[in-house]
Amino acid sequence: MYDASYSYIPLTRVDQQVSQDTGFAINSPILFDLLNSLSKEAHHEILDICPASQGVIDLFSGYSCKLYLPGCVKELCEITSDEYDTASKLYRAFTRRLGFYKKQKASLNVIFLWDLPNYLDKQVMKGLIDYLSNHMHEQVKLHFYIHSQQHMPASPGSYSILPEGKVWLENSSDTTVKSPLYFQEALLSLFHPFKVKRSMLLSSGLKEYILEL
Amino acid sequence: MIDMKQFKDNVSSKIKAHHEPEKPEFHEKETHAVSVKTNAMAIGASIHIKGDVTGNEDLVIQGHVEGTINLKGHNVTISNSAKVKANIEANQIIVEGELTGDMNGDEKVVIRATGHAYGNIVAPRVTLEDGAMFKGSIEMEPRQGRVAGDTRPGNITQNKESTDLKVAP
Repeated sequence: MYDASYSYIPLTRVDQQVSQDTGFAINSPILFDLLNSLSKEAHHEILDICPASQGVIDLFSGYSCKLYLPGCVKELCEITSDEYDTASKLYRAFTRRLGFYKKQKASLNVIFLWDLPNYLDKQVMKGLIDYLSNHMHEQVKLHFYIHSQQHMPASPGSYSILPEGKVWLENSSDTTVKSPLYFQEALLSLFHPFKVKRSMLLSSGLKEYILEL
Repeated sequence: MIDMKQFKDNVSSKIKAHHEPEKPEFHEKETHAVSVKTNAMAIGASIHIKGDVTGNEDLVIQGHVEGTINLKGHNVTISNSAKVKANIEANQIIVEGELTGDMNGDEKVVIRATGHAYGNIVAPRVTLEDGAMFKGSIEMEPRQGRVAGDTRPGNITQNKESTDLKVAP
């Protein structure tokens, strides 16, 4: 069961191609290589932390899959390592937000984190990977974007996969904050034991990564 | 266990309201992709039910239901005013109000723009309307062939590196 007390971002409008000043479409080559590599015969378990959107649902409707859509980006960003200072507190916080319980063990083979890693406290990010590792398939692929410019929007953007093979990025904030500017070595310490499979700098200033075990 | 045939007698006034042909409510729904039968059984806005709901006809919930709803082969509509905490098994499940619980739809699950749904969906087709709220999981089997208007590409190609496209307003 899920807690109803939160706000939401109506994301599905991006799937209707409504143009807005706050949003734009980006190419995301690594993401689409990943999507094209998914077998139509195999069963997939996919975690998308962004709010549920019709684009993602339509995309995966051609696969045998289970899509986890906790829509918990905002709630994850509110977790701080000061408040959740022990592994068990963090575990409970993630369970509440992501909804994976031991008895409902998932076997995730694709995880979309979008730009969340830029916004999480380092300890929280490590804790999240630890938490998710209980629910990962051994061939899991982890996809995300890292801001490579000095400043980034003050809160995570909203992402949705568009039917024509692009990603719609909607900035949720006009104000900016300093980017953590993670380089690969620092990233790998956050995402231990993952290794970089591919990375690519996009002209939007996002660096796209896919990691695997 | 609540049998809908028995329950029907107790809420006959609500049922009559939905049988009157001049009432436009369900005719309006026909403009949506999923049509709702006009002779659906209704649980009125002031009704609170705790227990299991079963039956052999379509159901429109306007009130509060807590428990389980099992209407295999029929449609369940959770109206704007409804608050439901129940696992639902039906042919089509349409959420316009608030639902907490798992949805097992033999044909499809639709969460309308006003709908808030928290739970797990098992259905071959799922539609989230613009503004709909959903948190949970969706389990799908691949569709047996494309439906009309499905624009999802079979194989998505993207070779241009570092060429972000700004969509013109």
